[in-house]
Amino acid sequence: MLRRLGPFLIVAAFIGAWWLAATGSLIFPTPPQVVLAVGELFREGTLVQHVTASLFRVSVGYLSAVLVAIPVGSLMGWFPAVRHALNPIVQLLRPISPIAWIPIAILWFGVGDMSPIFLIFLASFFPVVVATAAGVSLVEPQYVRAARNFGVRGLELYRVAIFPAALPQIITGMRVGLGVAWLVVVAAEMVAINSGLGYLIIDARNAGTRYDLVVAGMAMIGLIGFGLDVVMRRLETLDEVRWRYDGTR
Amino acid sequence: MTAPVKLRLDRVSKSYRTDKGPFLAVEDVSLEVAEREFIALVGPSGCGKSTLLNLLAGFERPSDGTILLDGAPITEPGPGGVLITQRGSVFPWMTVRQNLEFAARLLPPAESERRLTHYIDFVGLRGFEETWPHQLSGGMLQRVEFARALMARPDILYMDEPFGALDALTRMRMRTELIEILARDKHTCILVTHDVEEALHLADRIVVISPRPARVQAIVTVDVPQPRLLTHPALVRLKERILRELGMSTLDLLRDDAAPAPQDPAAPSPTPEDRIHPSTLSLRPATPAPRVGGDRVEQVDVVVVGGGPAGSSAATIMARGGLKVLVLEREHFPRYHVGESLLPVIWELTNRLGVTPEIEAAGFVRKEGITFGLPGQGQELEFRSAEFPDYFERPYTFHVERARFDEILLHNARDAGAVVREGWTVRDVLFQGDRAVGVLAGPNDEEPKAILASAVVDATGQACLLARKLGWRRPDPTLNKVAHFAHYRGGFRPTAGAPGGDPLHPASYATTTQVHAVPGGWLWYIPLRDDIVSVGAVLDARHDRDSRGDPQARFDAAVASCPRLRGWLAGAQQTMPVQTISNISYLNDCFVGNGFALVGDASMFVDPIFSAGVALAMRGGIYAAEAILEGIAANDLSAARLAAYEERIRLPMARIFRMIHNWYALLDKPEADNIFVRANQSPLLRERLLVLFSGGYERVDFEELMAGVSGR
Repeated sequence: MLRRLGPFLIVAAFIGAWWLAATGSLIFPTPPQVVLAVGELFREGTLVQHVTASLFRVSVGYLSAVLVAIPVGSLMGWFPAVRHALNPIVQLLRPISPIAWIPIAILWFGVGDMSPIFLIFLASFFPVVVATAAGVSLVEPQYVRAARNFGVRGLELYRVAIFPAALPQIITGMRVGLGVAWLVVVAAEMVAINSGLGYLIIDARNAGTRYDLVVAGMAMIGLIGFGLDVVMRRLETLDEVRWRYDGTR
Repeated sequence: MTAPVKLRLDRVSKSYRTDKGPFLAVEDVSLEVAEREFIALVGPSGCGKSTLLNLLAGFERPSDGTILLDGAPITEPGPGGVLITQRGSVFPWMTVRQNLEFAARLLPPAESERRLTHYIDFVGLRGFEETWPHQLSGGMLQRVEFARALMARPDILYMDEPFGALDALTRMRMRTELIEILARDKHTCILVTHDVEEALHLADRIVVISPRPARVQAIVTVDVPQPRLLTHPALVRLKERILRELGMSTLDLLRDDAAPAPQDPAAPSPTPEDRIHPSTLSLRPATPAPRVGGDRVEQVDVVVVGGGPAGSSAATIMARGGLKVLVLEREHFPRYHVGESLLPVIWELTNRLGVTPEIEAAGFVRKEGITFGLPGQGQELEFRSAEFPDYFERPYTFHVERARFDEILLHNARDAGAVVREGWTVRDVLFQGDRAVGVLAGPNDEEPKAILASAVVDATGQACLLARKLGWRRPDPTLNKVAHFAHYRGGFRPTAGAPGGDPLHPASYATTTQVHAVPGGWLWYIPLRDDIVSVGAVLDARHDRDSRGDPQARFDAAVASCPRLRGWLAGAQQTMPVQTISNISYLNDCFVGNGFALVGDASMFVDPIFSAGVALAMRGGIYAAEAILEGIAANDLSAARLAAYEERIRLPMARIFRMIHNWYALLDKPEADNIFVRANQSPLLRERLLVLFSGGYERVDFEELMAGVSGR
């Protein structure tokens, strides 16, 4: 019983503490004020507009990163020579926070959609490429041998055996990548552009010290990020990949 | 041979380049296999049989010689010859149906569907077509593996220990099923196995392979029609012959390795003080030993890491043999240890160690036998050692506090002349190349120093110092258990104060070790001295993880689910907090290397259900010590020489593992035919089982006993 109620109790306690702390403050909003602010944004139509803008950038940047990272990671995982050649540059670029790229992104792409998309691409590319390379290099040899035994060769070998065997790890990498992408889009929108949830937050603060709108924007970011993670976690429960996570065989 | 030749090997060799120069895996193998013939390749583990099979299946190319399939050389793997290994290769991301269709994917859909229907029925998987592999048992998975191979209608089935990963009962059943499959759908088969009986059961001809490099040592024709009974006199004779072939080959190998190393002329010739192999001698220089930090490096003959039963047994024997033995034990004895029930076979070991009087005088509680509470109807089976008293020296043994028992054994090692240092930690084993040359050790919390030795015995228990370092640890995932245990005071004593005993003397409590099945596992109940009972719950790790509450709650729930023990503990007081240990059984890959041996829990850990651990650990310690003594006498402490120890201890270990698997199969399926139920039906079977439960794993015809059980 406590197990099921636990999360709700904690969230309720958190909101309660917030409410207590914010009551009487002139600037910091209480939970009802934030709910009202969300309603206000929604009626104005700006909420949908900002959410769509952020999600659009994440979709484009993230999907292109996945489309590039899976082939590159697969090559790195399968061919030691490729891994040897690419690993230093990947390991060198990976620790650089995408935030640090913001000035260069603005220099290269100006203030438009391209800058945040580029940053999101960078942010989600590395987790996916590293997970894919690891997943492919760890494919149990007996699966590849079995496929070869039944006459599968070349690219079909990848499609039939290597990719599905590595898919569980790839999906985990994709989940991490999407989480990072969502973190980065907000940061990018705070500097490089004038729409999106990040812009909403910084604009509400700069324009009118509307901290109720700031917290409303934060709440939306949290909820959407949570939702994205739920969707990605659902992928991990598919029968095609569950064998890896169950830890049974 | 009347049938046409299917497969012809002509002087096939295979060598690999390694860091240490070329490595010859297969040498000069010539063989002809007739159409529809069943050939078994039998040889010791690691002899190169699998390499040979990989060459045949086209996964590797021979370095020399030719392999012709239907007169044409094999260049690459293909559906004409399908390889089945014990590491199942059924694709886990496909359903059973998709896996089978994959094997026939180049055929017209109608033909694929026809074969699918045929082979699904063939292997008895109707109804499981849409199941995912991770939902199937090991035996069913292996049947999918076979069905998928047959879907391709291969000319040849290559099988590399195909049943090696299965439990004993399933393995027997799968063998019989394979015979039925082949009777209906005849394929040429090449089977690689190290199980001589499996080969005798299945093959038309058995090719005995010599140890590395693989060579054909003998070819034996098995002229007994199917179905075969392994007790058939002709098969028994063949088995003896093949075992002799295998045994002799091992001796030959030892002699080869024992020849003095000619590349080391600088080494001084052995003197009475230096009874070590010349190549080892270079480690014990005639000049003063190297100095580290100004101190002379300590040198002994053998370092034993760990002072538990295995370590102290080994130390006692070696010290008696005149060696300078140093035992390094991390703890200060006496210290608590779980595992309190002994077996009657222990007397032979304590006699060998000369410690029987001390054990008898220690006042432990007598153990008269073992009582099993079976799952299901609450039926109980009791085996008392006195029923068949002829097999062991005494028809009883003891329930012991391990703190005291282990202390007696360690003192005994000290008395025998071993130097024992308690409170010493061994950080690492020192190697020169692949040869152990000493340890890095020191008192706990002090900077460790090098201690040189001709041999190192790893008796570190579940810490598995060397097995972890070398990657040899091999847990059995099907025996992944958790044990919660505690002591109680005031629990009921089943037969306390047995007739003839002195009720005031604790040793007069004559009792059995109680083992009771409960949902998810089983309980032990072991009466100790001073009105204490040890109670433990061994539960499936996954079952335990899914249960609610802390270890105490899970332990209490397990006890509460057993009416018998719940009643006995009704008025008892728990005297220590519940302890929890992971109880995953493991049987490590190798027990010996150049200059070192793994003994006791450092080599294997068995589920406590049959109380086998202490006796096996002491046997291992004694055997390893004997192998080291012989090795030193022969100036040879190579892995090949020390393998004599491993060969002696592997068989009882393999058998106890099969018994444990049988017990858990019984827990899973209480209604299945099993040895425990049969014990009630036949006095002969009961007698043999009692011998097994007493630790005499090699004193019964084990295979016949287990084969009789499977009955399928």
